[in-house]
Amino acid sequence: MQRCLVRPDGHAWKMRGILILLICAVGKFAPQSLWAQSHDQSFPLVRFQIEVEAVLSKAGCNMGACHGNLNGKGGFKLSLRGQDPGDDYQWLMKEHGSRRLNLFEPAQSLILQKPTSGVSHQGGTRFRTDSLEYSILSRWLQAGAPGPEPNAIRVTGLSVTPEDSVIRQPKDSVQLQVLAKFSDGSTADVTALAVYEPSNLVSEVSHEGLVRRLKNGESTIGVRFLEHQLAIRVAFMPRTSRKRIRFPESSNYVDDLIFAKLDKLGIQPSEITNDSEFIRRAFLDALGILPTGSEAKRFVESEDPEKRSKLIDSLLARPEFSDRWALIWSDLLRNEEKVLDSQGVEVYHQWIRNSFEQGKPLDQFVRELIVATGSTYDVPTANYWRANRAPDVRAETTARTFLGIRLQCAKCHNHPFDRWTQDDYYDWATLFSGINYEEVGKNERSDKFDKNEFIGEQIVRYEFKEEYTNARTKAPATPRFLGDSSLTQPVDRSRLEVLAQWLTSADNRWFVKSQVNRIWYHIMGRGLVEPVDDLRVTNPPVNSALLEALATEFVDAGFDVRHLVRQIMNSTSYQLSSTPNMTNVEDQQNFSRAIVKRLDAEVLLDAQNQAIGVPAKFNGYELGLRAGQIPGVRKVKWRKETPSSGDLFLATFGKPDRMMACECERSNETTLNQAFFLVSDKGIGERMNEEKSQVRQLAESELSDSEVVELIYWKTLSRAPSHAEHLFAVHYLANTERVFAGLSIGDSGRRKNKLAAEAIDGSVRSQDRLSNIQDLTWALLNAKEFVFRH
Amino acid sequence: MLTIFGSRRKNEKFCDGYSRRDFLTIGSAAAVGGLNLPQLLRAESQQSSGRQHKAIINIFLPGGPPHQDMWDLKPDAPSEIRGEFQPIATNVSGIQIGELFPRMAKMMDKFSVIRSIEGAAGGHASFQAMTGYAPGNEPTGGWPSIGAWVSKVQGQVNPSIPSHVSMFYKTGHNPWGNPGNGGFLGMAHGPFRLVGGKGETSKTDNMVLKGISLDRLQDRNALLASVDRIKREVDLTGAMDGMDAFTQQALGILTSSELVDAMDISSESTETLERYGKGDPEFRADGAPKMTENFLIARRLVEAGARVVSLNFSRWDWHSGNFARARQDMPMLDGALSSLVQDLHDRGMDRDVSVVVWGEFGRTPKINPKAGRDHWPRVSTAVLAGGGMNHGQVIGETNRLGEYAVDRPVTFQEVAATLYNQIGINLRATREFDLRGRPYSPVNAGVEPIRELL
Repeated sequence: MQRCLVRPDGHAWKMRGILILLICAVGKFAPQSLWAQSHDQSFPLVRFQIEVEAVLSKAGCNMGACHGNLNGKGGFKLSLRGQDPGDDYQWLMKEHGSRRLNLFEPAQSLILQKPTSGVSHQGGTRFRTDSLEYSILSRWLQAGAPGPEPNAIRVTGLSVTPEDSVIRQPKDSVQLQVLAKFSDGSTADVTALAVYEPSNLVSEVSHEGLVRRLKNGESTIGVRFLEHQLAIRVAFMPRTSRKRIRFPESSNYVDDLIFAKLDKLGIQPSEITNDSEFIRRAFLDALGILPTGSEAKRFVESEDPEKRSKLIDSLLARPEFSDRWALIWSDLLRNEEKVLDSQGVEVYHQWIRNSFEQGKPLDQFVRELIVATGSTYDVPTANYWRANRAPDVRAETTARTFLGIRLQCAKCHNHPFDRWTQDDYYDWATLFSGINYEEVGKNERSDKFDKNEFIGEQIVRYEFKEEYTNARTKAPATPRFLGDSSLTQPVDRSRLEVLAQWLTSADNRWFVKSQVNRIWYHIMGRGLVEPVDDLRVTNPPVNSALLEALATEFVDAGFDVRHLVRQIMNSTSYQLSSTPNMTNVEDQQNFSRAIVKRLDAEVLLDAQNQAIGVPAKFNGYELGLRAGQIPGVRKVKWRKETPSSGDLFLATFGKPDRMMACECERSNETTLNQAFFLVSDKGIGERMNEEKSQVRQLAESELSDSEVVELIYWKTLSRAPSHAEHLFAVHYLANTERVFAGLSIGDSGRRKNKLAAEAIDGSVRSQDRLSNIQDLTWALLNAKEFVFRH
Repeated sequence: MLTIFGSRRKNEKFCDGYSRRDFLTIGSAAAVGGLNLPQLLRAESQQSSGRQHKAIINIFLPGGPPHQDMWDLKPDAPSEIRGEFQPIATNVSGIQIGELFPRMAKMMDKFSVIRSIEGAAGGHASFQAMTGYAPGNEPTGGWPSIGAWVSKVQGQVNPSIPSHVSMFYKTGHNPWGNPGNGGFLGMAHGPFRLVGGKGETSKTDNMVLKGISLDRLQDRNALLASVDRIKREVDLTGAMDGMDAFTQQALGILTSSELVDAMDISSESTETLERYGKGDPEFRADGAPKMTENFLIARRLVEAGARVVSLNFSRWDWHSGNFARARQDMPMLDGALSSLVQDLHDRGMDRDVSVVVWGEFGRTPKINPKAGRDHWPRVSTAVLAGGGMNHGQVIGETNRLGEYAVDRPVTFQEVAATLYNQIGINLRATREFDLRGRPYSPVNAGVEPIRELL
C-alpha cells in the first residue's frame, strides 16, 4: 500500500487552519483528494488558453531555459512563456494518443508524470500531485483536452495590490493579490496562478504571492499572468524612529520628490557636500573636465552665498558643455569611422556639437535626424541612416535611443518582459523600409574582409518599394507606430516626417521620459530607470513621480537640455555628499547620497593631462585636442600606425567602439590592464617629464615645497591638503634619502617634523625635487579620489 | 541585473540544475562584473589548496592548415590530391598520420585527432577557434572567448597570474591575431596579452617597467597607499575595491615577477629547449612568427596559475608552395607540440590540462598549379591532448579525397564544449547575460561534449 502525506502547506490560503490530513490512497484515487476538490472550487474552469497555459507558466515549463527554448528540451517544445496557445496546443496534440497525453488514463500522461517526477524529469519536480497545477492539468485531460476556442474569452488586464509598499520591522512580509480582468467584463483572483519574479535578493516571493523579507532594501517584483505583466515595489525597512530624519532645505521639486521617497523609506540623506567636492563634481558632470587648481581655489574661498548656482550658470555657458553632450550623443548615434568614414564622422560630430551649442530643443534635434536624406557629407544628419543600415536595425535603434524601448527580443518572439509582440516589431520596422543608399564612387575601404567598412560618400534616399516582411506571418507588415493602433501611413518620404512628428510629440511620454531619464543619468550618475534605455512596466522607475515631474518640466521648457540640467544641478539632492550615514549606507538608487563611479575614459585622461598641463597625442588629430573632443572612435587604424599612448588609454578604459546605440557599450569596469596603465604607463611619465609640464615647472620654480604641495593638491584633487597630508607631502618632497617605508600620514616623529619644518620654511631643498614632485603627482593621479567621481 | 526565471518553491531545481536562489546569487555577484576580485581570489584559495587547477592551452594555426598533409592523409587519392607526403604508422595500431609528424606518431596514444571538423564560417579568422561560436549574429556586447568564460566562471588561481592570458601576436591580417575578448562578460575577462606585434617589444608593453625603476615604483606605491584617503564606504559597487585589487595585482606582476619568470625560459635545461626547438621570431607576410618557445611558455604559464593560454603559430595560408612550407613549419609544430604534451604527462598535468590545435578551415583537396592548396571550409582537422580525455583515437572520417566528413561530423562548438567540460564548467548550469539581459551559455543549447573523448 502506498502512503502519501498530504499537507496544507502549499495552499494554505484557502484552507488555513485546517487539520493535517493523512490520506492514504492508491493510484488513481490520489488526485480525487479533498485538496483537488478545493482546487475545483478556486478554479472551476480549465480552459486551455487560460488556466492550462497559466499552469505551464507557473510551473516554469515554458521558460527559455526549459521547453520554451527555441529548440525545446528533451524533444518537447512549448512557446516561450505561453505566448502562442495555438502552437502549444498543436505541439501537445501532435503527441495525441501517445504517452505525453493519455486521455484514457490521464494520470499516466507524461505531462503529469514528468513534472511530478513520476518518471524521471531533467527539470526536476515542478509540482505535486496534490497541487493546483496538477488538478488543473488533470481535469483538463479528463475533459478530453479541449483546445483553445476561437473568440474565446481573453484576459484584458491585470491588477496587483499593493502596488507600492513599505514594510517595517517587525513586519516581515506582505501578501500580494492578483486580479485578472476578462474580456467579458468579469474579474477573477489569479494569485495562485501568477508568476512572481523578484528583481534582487532583498526579498523572496512564495508560490502563493507572499513577499518575504530576506534583508532590508527595495525590491521590484515582476508579476505575470499569461501575456500580461506588471511590476510592484516593496521596500523592507528596519524599524526606525521617523522623528530623527532631518531633511536639508529643499531647493526645488526635484528635492521635494526625492525627499518624499526617502521619508517614506526612513532614509536620512547624506550631508550637503563641501565646496571642493561640489565644484569637482559639477565640472565633471556638466563639462567632462576637472576645474583648474585656481578655479577650484577661487570657488572654495569665495564667500558669495549664491556661488553654487552662479557656478552652474557659468558652466552651462561654457563650450565644454557642448563637447560633453556631443560625446554622449556621438556614442548613441554610432558616430564611428568604419561605417561613416572620417569625413562623415567629422560633419556628424560638428552637427551634434553645434546643436547643443545653439541650445537646439531636443525634439527638434531628433526630428532633424529622422527626416534626414541626402549626401552624408553635405547633410550631416543623413549619417543617422547611414549608420543604421537595415529596417530592423533602424527600428531597434530608433526605439531604443529615442523611446527607451528595447525591442530586439520581439524580433524572434514576443518580448518576455514587455508588452511588445512580434507583430508590433515588424509593424514598427516597416516604417523604416523605404530608406536606401546610393554609393557615390567606389568604396575605398582598406579592409576587404570587413563588409561593414565603407569609405566614400553615400547618398541616403527615400525610395519606398515594399513593406518589410513580418517574419511570423510571412506577410508584408502593416505600418504602425509602437503602442498605437493601426494607421494609414504614407509610403512616400512624408512617412519619415509623420514618424518624426509622432516620435517627438510632447504627448509621446516614452520619448519625453526616456530623454529626461538620460539627462538625469548623465548628471546624477544613475538613471531613475536603469538600464537607462529600458523603460517598461516590469522595470519601473525608482521614483515615478520624479520622472513624471521632470518630463512635464522638460516639455514646458521646450525640450531645453540646459534648463533641465540647471534644475537638476541646483537641487540639494545633486549636491549631497557621497559619504553615507547610518540609514543610507546601503542605498544606491534613491539618490540619498552622491553616486560613486569611475570616470569615463575620456574624462579620466583629460583630467590627468589637465593636472599635468600636457595634452596626450591621439593619432590623426592635432596635439591639444582633448579626448572628450574626439569626434569618432579610431581615425587612424591601429595596424596603419602604432596607437599612441592616448589611443591605448581610451581603449583600455572602455571608450566604446560605437557598434551599438547604447550607453551600455561604454565600460566603467575596472580591469587589470587599467591598473597596469595607471601604475606603469609610459605616457604619463613622459608627459610629466616634458618641458612644459607643470610638474617640471613646479620643480624648477622658486616656490617652496609647501607651496608646491598646496598647488598639486588643488590641481589634482581640487582641494587643499589637510594638515596631516600637507606635512606628509612636504616631507616627501624634502626627502633626499628616498627611505620612505614605514612613514605615513599622521605619523609623528621628531625627525620627520623637523624635516618638514625645514622644508616648509624653504631652508632645505631636495636634490631629487623633480622626481619627488613627479612621485607625489603620480600618487595623487592614481588615488581613487582622483579616478572616481564622488 | 534582470532575473529571468520564474519563482518556485524553495529547494526546487530548474532544469539547468540551479535553483532560483543560486541563480540570483550568481547574478548579483555578476552584477559587479570582474570587480569582485578579492572575493574570487579568496574563493579560489579555499578551493584549490593541495590540488592542481585545470587549464586549457588553445593553439591556433592561422590561415587554414592543410588537413590532408597533416593528420588526415589520403594515400589512395590521385596524385593531384594526394600530395607529396606519405602516411606513417603511429604507436596506436590503425592510426596513421603525415610523415612530417614523426614525434607525434611515437606518442599517438596521448593525442586524439578529429578529422571531421565542420561548420567553418570560411573567413580567415581565429574567431571560431577562440570562441567556439560562429561569427555574426552576436549578442549585445559580443561573444566572449573561451578564456573569458573560464575567467568569469572560475576566477583566478594566483593573484600574480591573470587567469586568461594570450600569446597571440598581432598579425598583419588582423583576424589572425585576435585571441578573442571578454565579449558581453566584460573587459576584465578578456585575455591578458603577453606578446605584441611586429616591431613591438616581444613581451607585453605594459608589463615591463618603462622609464621607472622597481625601487621607485615601490616607493610610489607606498606613497599611493598613504595619500589615497577616500573613505571606502562611499562605494558599494565594489569598483574601488576592484581597483585596489587590480592595482595590487599589477604591482604584484611587476614586482613579484612570477609572470615574467614564467615567460623566461632561460631556466629550462638545454635539453628541454632543444626538444621544443628553436623558433623563428620573424613576422612573415601577414601572419604570426613561428615561436616554438611559446609552447614551452604556455606550459610554464599554466604551472604558474593561468587557466587559459592561447597562442598563434606561423601562417598556414599556403596558396602556393604548400609542400615546401609544410617541410619548414610542420616539423617545428611536431617538435613543439609533442614536447608540450610529453611535458604535461611527465609532470602529471595531463589529466588537468587540455591542449587543442586547430585552424580556421581546411584546404582544397586538389593541388593548384602553384603547388598550393586553397581554402576549404567544408572540413578540417584538429588535435586534442591531455585534459583527462581518452586519447589514442581518431574521431570522424573524411571521404577518399578528403573533401567532406563521411562519419561523425564535429563542430567547433562541440570541441569548445569538450574543453569547457574538461576544465570543470557545468554547461547546463552556466548562464550569463549579455548587455541587453538575454541569457547565454558557453555553448548553444543542445551542444554536448564529444562523448568518445570522455
